[in-house]
Amino acid sequence: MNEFDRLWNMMDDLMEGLIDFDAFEREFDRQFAQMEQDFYREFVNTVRKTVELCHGIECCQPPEELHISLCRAIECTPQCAPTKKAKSGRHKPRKKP
Amino acid sequence: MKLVNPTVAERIQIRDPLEPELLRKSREGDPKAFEELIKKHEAKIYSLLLSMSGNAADAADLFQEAFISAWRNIRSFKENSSFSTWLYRIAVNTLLMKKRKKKVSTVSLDVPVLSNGEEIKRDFAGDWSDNPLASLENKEVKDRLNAAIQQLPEKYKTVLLLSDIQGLPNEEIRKVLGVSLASVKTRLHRARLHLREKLSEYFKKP
Repeated sequence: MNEFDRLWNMMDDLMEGLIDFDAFEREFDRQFAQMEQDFYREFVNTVRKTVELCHGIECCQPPEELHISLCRAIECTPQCAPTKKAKSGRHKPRKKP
Repeated sequence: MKLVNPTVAERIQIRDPLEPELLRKSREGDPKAFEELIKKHEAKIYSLLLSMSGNAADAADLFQEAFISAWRNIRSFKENSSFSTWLYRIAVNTLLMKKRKKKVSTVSLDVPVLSNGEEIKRDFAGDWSDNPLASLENKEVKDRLNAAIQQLPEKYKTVLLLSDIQGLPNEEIRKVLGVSLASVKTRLHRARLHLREKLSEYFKKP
């Protein structure tokens, strides 16, 4: 595993909440002390900020008339019969005569 | 190591206790129960389709189609995944089918292809993460971010929208898209890198 992969794995853990930012920084300092720290720190901070900005984007409600027309359509749409369980492909043992 | 990231904790999906009953009634053909399920999930599905399709008219068609398909097939929903994951899968498949029929490719030629992420482009924009302008209240940043999301190739855009905007865990995204966890992570990294790149261009000092 090269340094870049290790950095990505740590970013993964940070984004998924497996480590907090302080722990990330400590690990970062330990592992990447020899690297061009300023550049990588900027890189990590700006990726983190980008993700934070994405988290801030809000979902929007569909227009009211769209909701109403969907509910009307549902009321006059029949449901399909449940699909049968797919065969496993295994052969049944033959009955002995 | 602690589990303290509040944004992730907030994003954990807690199953609605009323949902199993609404699902049971919907399976029995009760449209009112299904309407309640629609109310619970419509904002997320509509937002996803709006971002993916890029226009409100297409999003409205796809939204109707996806929920009608869910209603028609709800008796086949086996609860191997959560209802929301199942809905997301239907919505994404509806959109992809539509695009295939139209033969419209949304892959932008402007997007730089990152070679397995080995190389980090040096943009010299500095660390803009503490810049007070780096906020969604700044309309220019918000517009840049939305434009950058629209520019992403479809497979990256889908993962980014599901993860960073809809808040789905990677494991759920894997189920929605039917790809490996490694693919989800790779696509997400590349999408985030592209967005960061576009925002860095904005913050680059002249």
